[in-house]
Amino acid sequence: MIFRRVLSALTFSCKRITEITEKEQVNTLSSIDKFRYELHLFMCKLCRSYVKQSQIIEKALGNMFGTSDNDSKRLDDSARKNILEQLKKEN
Amino acid sequence: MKAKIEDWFHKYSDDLYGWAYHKTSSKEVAEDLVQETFLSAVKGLKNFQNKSNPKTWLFAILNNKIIDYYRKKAKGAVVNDERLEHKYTDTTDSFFDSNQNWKTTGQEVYWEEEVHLLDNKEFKKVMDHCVNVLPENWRLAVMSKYILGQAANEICQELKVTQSNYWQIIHRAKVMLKKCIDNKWTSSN
Repeated sequence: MIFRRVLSALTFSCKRITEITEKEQVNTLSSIDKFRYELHLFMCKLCRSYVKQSQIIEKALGNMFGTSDNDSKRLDDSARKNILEQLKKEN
Repeated sequence: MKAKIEDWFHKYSDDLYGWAYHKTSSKEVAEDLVQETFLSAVKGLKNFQNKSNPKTWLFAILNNKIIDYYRKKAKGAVVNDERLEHKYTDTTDSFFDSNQNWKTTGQEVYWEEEVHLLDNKEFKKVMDHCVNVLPENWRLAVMSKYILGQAANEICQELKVTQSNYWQIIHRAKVMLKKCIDNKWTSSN
């Protein structure tokens, strides 16, 4: 508790760390702020854990709703014919 | 004019279909979305500027259709989204103490250390659940960003929120997901 208060006074609060991580702004930080950010992560296990969890969540979201098979999919012929007919009706 | 669309259809429909299928896991839905994309393209052709790439343009239309599809699917489950957003905002705030540092419980779970988490079926179920309980706007923002890979300014336009509001939503949704996984993942293991 006291350790975190000192750390956040020197660097950023944990909440701010989660925001910076989110804004993908780590690379746009000034070098001093980048140092403070890294220092916080170095000292704070919870935020270190959060940054890794955040990456896992992003990957898991990217996989969601998707199928894992990478076969190139083709529109089947009846659907193709159907859509072309619809397109011809337009205009 | 029509010939141009038909030409695009022959060139790009398989790629569009493949993407729609990948994002919806349904043959019927993907076919419908491709059809709607081309019908919208016919109607919107005068807005298409010849200097842009037709494939990019068609994919942008398709992405909007995919989001619409999920938006419609999500409707009905949500009664009062605004109240839910307030509640969840309070909840995410409550994870931090008065100095804006993590509240510690001594029972933190470090699930990020587990191997092959992304291939784990139970973990996928937990993710599904945690995404589904988010307020609708938050879920849409997260889906648009991470599932469809849309750019921030596009998402802001669709959700009618400012950039800073958008980043707050993404940030809070992420913290919420982390806490939800913390709870569900330990209780299921």
